Amino acid sequence: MNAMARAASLAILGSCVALGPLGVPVVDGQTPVEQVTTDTPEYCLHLLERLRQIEHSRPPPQEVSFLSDQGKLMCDHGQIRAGITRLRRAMQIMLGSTDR
Amino acid sequence: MPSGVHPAPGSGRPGPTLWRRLTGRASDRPLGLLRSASIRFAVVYAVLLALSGFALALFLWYETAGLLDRQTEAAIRADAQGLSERWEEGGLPALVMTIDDRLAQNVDDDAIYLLVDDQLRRIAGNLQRWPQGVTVPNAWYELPVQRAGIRSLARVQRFDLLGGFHLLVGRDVRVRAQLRNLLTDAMLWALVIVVAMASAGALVVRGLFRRTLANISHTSAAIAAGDLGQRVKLSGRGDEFDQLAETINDMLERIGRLMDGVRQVSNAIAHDLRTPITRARTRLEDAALHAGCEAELRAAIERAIADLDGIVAVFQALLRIAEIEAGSRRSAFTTFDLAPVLADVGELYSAVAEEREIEVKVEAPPHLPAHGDRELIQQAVANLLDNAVKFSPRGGRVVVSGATSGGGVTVGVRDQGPGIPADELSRAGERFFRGEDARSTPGSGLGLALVQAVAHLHGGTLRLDDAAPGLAAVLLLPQASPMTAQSLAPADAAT
Repeated sequence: MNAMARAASLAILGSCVALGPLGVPVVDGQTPVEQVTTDTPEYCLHLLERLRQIEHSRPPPQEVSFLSDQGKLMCDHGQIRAGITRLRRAMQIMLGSTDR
Repeated sequence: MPSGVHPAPGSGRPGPTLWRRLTGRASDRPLGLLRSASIRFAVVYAVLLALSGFALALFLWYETAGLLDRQTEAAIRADAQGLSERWEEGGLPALVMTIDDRLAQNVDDDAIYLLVDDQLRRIAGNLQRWPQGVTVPNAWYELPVQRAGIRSLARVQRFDLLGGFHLLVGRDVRVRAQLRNLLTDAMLWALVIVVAMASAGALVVRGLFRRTLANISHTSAAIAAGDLGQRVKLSGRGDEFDQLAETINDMLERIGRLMDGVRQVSNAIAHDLRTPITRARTRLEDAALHAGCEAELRAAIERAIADLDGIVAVFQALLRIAEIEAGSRRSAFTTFDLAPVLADVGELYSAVAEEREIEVKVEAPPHLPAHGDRELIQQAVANLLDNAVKFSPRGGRVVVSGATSGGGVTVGVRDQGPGIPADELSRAGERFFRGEDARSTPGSGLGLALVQAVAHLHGGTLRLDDAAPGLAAVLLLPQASPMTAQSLAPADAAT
C-alpha cells in the first residue's frame, strides 16, 4: 500500500512537471507592453499609398477598387482596423495577381 | 526561509495524534486507519480513478491546447524560414520588402515582425521598439502587446542575422490563449469532479466491502458462539463474494455433518455399551450375593469377562474405523490379486455357514487385479459375508462375486435374508446403526460402517440394494492401472 501511494504521488508530481512546459514557454512578468504599429491611421495611409503604386503598373480589378475605396472610407471615419483589413484584402488580390 | 515567513497553523505535517491515527505509528507499530482493508480498497479505488482522470485530462489538454501552441510555433518557424531565404537572396532591402509585404497582406491581423540593427534601431516591422526581455536567440517568448488599444499576447521568437541585425517573428495568440485558458479551466474542473466522484466511489466501495464482510463476520461470530445453524447470506448475483459465501456454507454444512456424526456416535456408544456393562455388573453382583460355590462364582466371572471382551471388541472396531478414516493406511496401498482374497474369505465362512446349511458360493475370475490395502479389503469382504451369513435363513445361499467393470473392481455379496427396508438403506453405513429387524441378532452395528470407511479410503463406494429377497451389497473399488493388470498377467501364465 505504501509503495502504491508513493507511486501515485510520484505520478501526480511528474504529470504536473510535464504539464508546465506545455503551457507557457517563457514569460517575463517585467516586460512592458509593446505597441503594435499596424493598427494606426498612418498605416492605413501607408497601405493606400502602396496600393496606388501597384495600381500604376496595372489597372486594378473591380473588387480591388471596391475594397480600396471601402478601406479608405472606413479609415477616414475612424474604423481603422476594419479599414486596414479591407486594404489588406485588396493588397492580397493585387500582389497575388501580380505574382501570376 | 526568510525570517518573517512562518508556516501557517495546521500546515505541513499533521499533528502527532492525527498522524498516529493515520499511520498507526506511535513508534514503529504499522498501520492504523490503513489497517482496515475496506479503507485500503477505497483508497486504492480513489487513487486509481483520480489517476485515470488525470491522465485523460492530460491527454485531452495535450491534444487541444497543446496542439494550438504547436501550430502557432510551426507557423512562426515557417515564416522565419521564408524570411531567412529572402535575406540570403536579397539582403536587407529584400528582407525589409518581404516584411512589409507580409504585413500588408496579413488579413488575420495577427503577425508580429520587427527588424532592428545592432543598436536595436527599428528598420522594419510592426512593433515600435525591441522588447526588453527578448534577449536569447531562438528562444520562445510570450510578449504582452497592445493592438488598437486592446491589450493582447503574442508568442515571438528572436533570430540574429549577420551584420548585427536582429529579427523578431511572432503571432498574436490572444484568442488561442483564451481558448487554452478555457480548456485548462475545463480540465481543472473536470479533475475536481473526478476527484469528488473518486471520493464518493471510494465511500461506496468501502461500504460494499464492509457490508459483504460484515455478513461473513456476523455468521462466523454466531457459529463461534455455538449457533451452527447460521449460514452466510447470498446476494444472488453469483459473484466472487457469493462463491466465497457458498464455499463457507459448504464448509459449515460439512462441519455440521461431522458434529452430528460425533454426537450420534457419542450417543450410540453411551446407549449400546450401557447394556453389556450393566449385564456384566449384574452378573458379578448376583454371583457375589448368591453364588453357592466357587464354580458358580467362576462361571459368573467368565460370563462377565465375555461381556467385557465384547465391549473391548466394539472399541477396537471404532478405533479401526477411525484409523481408516484418518487415511493413515493409504501408504500401505499395493497392487494385489483380489481373486484369492475372495476365495479365502469364502472358504473361511463356509465352515460357519455349513452348520446352518447355508451355501457360500464365490464367483470370480482367476485373477482380479486390485489396488489398495489388501488386509482392509479382506476385512471389508469378511464383514459383508459375516452379515450375509448371519441374516440368511437356514438352507439359504450366499453369493460372493468379483468382477472388473469400466468403473473399477466390484465385489458383490448377495444373500437371501430379510434385507434392509428401503427407508433404512441410506443409514445402514452409519456407526451403531441397527435396523428394526436386526435388533434381535447379535452385533454391534459397526460392520457396514467399517466397510463404508474402507470404500471411502480407496476412493470407492458401498452400495446396498434390495435383492428381493435379501440384500445385495456391492463394494466398488477404483480400477487398477493398466500396468497393474499387465504385471499380474505373467503370474497368471506361471500359475
